[in-house]
Amino acid sequence: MTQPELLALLESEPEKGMRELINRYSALLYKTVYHIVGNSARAQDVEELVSDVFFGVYTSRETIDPEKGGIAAFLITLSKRRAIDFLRKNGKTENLLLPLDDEMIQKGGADTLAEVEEREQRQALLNAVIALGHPESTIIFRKFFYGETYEQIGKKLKMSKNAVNKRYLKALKKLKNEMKGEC
Amino acid sequence: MTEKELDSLFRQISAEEAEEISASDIDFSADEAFADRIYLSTMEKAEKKGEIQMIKRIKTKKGFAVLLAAAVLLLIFAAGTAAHTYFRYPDRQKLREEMNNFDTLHISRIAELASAGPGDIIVQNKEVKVNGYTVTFEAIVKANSFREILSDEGKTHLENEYSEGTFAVVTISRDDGGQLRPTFENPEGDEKTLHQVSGFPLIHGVVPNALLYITSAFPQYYFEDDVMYYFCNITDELCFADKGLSLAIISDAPFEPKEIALDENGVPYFTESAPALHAMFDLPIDPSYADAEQQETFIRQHDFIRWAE
Repeated sequence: MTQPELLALLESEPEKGMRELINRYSALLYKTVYHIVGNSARAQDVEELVSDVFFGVYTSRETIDPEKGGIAAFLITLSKRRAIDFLRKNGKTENLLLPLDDEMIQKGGADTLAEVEEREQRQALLNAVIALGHPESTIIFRKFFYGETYEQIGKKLKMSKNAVNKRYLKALKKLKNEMKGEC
Repeated sequence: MTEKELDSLFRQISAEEAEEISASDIDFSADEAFADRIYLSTMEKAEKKGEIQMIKRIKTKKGFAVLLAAAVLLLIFAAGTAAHTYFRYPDRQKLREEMNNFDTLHISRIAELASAGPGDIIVQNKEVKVNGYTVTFEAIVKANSFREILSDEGKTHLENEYSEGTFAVVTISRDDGGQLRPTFENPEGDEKTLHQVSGFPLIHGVVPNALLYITSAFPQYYFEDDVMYYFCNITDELCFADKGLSLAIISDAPFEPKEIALDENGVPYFTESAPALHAMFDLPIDPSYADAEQQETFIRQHDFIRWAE
């Protein structure tokens, strides 16, 4: 389902649309929020923050403009703001390593050379992961990015833990070889 | 690039960068249970705000599902206790006598639990003495019974919370009563300690291939009171029950091709090249577990599998 189709579903059948939206983005938003609040929040708090974001989308779904960047970008931005609000409200801003303002949300100005190189390295990594093909790409992504266990990944992909492990090891070897030149 | 460097690089990836590749075939979606929780929480908020009236429908649906699940479980339990199992258990007295050699309290509960849960714990109690070691195939255990048989220390050692699957439980000890040192303390190994232990099921007729049995990154063994407890996942191979299955234990990982061979009936055995610690057991899985479709899936997922001619 494309993003315009998702927005259309949100409008025509809001509950179905929310279900689809949550299935698709809740894991990514959880990671986004957790990346900011870290150990300042319990897991239930992080889930609550993610739920707040989706609730915000649900109540303002008619105002979402698909022309102004995708709905995912909108969700990610909301998540970051929500996470920062949480830290401010709970007086835990000392845990935040990044500036507590819009600079964190949207950095202006040119990147330094180091930042450009780092971004290119990350992009090369993501391209190498995509090149692995399914299910290896999903296994690697969920293992490293989401930090899921083999068992969790297996449940998602309907594979046994052992099968996931074997695929993971083979994919990791391929990925290491691909990324050799990027170090 | 090392795994650690890859991990570090992944941590730098922002949600926006990750989202940019969402059009690829990578599955980003949330775990079902997690998504359900978020959905329910979101809709509860919406209901409180007067946006929707669907929360009652959700609760009813969920409540009905829970009731139905409970009723089904009750039926299965009733059928199970009345059913005649394919593994015949000796009476409890005889079983206790046979298991007198168990010197660890938690494993001795296998005997009690075996009669309580048909199919969940199948006692084997088969022993092989090899080069100063005793390797005992203790039982075949369903994962949901793990917590019944493991000591508190055992539970803390198993890194993953196993919630499903079938495992062969093996213990290894030294005949001279000496200490077994964990392999990470002695990665090079010597004649008195284990270098590395791996255990894996072998399908009769399939040419043994170490690629099929790469050691899991998560520990599947632990040491307690100079005994090594090894948990070998045999879930995937159960569907080959009609072909015959064996359980191989070897102090090597992965094994060398010359260490295991097949006899004229396709049954695997250890050759003279096998390392000091090696033991082969028959895995007595009932042929009713055989499943042609699952076999095809297994073969498709392991496309390097070869059948002996």
